Amino acid sequence: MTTPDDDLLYDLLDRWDEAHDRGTPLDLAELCRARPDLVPELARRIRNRLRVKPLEPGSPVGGPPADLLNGRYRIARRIGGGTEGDVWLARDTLIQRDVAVKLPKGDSDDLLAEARLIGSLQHPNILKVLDAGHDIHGTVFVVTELMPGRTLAERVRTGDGGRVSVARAIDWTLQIASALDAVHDAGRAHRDVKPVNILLDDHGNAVLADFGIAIDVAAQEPGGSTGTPAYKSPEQLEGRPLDARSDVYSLALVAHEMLAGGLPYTDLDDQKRIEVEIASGLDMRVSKRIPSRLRPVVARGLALNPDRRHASALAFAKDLELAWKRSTLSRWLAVVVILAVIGLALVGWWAREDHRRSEPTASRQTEGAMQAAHEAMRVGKDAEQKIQGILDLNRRLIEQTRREAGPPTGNAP
Amino acid sequence: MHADEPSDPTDSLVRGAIERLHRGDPAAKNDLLAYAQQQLVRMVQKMLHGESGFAVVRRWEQTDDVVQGSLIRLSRTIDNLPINSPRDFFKLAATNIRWELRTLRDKYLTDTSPAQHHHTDMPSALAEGQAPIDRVLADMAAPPDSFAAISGFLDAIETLTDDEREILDLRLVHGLTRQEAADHLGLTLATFKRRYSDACDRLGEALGEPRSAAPPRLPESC
Repeated sequence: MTTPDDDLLYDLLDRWDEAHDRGTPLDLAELCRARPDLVPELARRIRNRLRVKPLEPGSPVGGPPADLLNGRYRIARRIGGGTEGDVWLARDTLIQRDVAVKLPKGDSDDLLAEARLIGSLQHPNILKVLDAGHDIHGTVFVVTELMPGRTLAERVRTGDGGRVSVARAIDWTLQIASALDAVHDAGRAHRDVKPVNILLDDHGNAVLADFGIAIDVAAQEPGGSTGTPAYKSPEQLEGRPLDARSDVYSLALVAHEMLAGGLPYTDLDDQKRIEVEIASGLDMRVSKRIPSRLRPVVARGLALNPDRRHASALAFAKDLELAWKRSTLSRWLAVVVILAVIGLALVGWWAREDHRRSEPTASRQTEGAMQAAHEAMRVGKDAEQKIQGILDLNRRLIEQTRREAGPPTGNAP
Repeated sequence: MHADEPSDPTDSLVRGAIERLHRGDPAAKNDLLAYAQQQLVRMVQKMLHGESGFAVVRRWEQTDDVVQGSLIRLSRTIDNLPINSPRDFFKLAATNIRWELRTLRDKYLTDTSPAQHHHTDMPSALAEGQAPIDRVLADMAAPPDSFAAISGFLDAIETLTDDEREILDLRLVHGLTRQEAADHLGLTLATFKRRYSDACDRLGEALGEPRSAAPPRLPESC
């Protein structure tokens, strides 16, 4: 007898399991958003499932032949992969450097076709193919450069609230858009643009990888819906013919994820997205976590109708960059205006204050001068009184001398 | 779907061979043994192809001899035990395969080869390697070493119940898909997923615990 919580737990675990096997792992918190109280138990079960995963059929345990691949590449361990093949860390024993080796899961011709396509695209933001071929056992392999950094998916997960800075997000969008334009100029569509296929190095470079399901746009056949559901364009979901604008849609989703910390929808189920987007005919609403001036650009990239999207990936990215520059310029202008107003206010205040302080100074000076004058006058009066006293004393002495000398004679002086 | 109405080709192949075995067709036993050989070789290869496999593969150059010995033992088991359904055979074959893998593993671990001191974290060649490799390895949730993973599995599964072992064996030893395994047991896919999920949970717990000294369960005929 299972409880409703048990049912939900099994359902969540099943969803996690399937997403894990598809190579698009789900975030635990997102999975339990409606029931965060289930996180600890689900986390415990997932931890146990991960211990068993390597033993399951089709798991990476086992992998390639243990001897040197093509007598040259010593395979170390699996470092990634998807529906088309697994990617292994390897040592190129000839050149003595580390490389990535891709081995097919299914049709090996597809892997070689992918290698030829990438090899024909010389672009700094496209993963470089170093070697390809069959080894002595007939194993098809493709050797590419090893990107030592992380994938964009890992970077987004560890970012601030799942986001990266706007400047960084736009820079990476521009780089990937440039790579996509090169793909589109070659008449192809990538069809699997998503964060896990974007590799980042330590110098801020973004590199587009995994061309396993890229197609020749001119030779495509209708039907089928290859690609990662969460990042598919509406036309890709419906299996309609697609072109470069399908990759523009996926790139806009990636940009949305970098800027907002998540996709514009939370339900990754194909059918739900078709119901919400296609049947309703409504364009997707972008997150308000994206700066307001960028939202219309992202929304245009995510337009349901390809005709309303940007014509190329680079046009989308440059539009995004322009909107951000305008937004930045507006902010600077606002700052300048505010600073100017503050400056003027300060000047006015200073002038008034200066005027106010100058008045009492003069008054104090006048008062001091008057006090000095009064003092001088007081000193002058004292001196005058002293002189008068001396003169009086002198007069009295003369009169006393005359009385003591008697009446005056004729010869006497 | 009922267990008597299998849909996967493996089940059909084994069922047909068992019916022919009951009719006295001597070639039927060879078909069953061929199937078991295929699974055993696949598991041995899986066990050897991890990074520790590089270290030990030279020690196991006589794997074919071991496989032959295993098939002889399974042949005797088929002669001595009643096999009435594919389910009986799958359980028997899985037990045999796991026992042979343990024998191989223990033989290797008791050897004095330097390779026996392998670590499951990282191969020594990589531990001494360049920074880019270290970064890549450190940054990703890399799958565990296959030798250690299967070795741990062989011990951990012995701590589970018979039902749990059976359901896990179908996926992990016989390599059936979920749907094939569900059909084999006569369960709906949803029910199989739940039981498999619970069994994985128990196995995962056992794999996370320090290795026990549980003795191997020998095939009943050995």
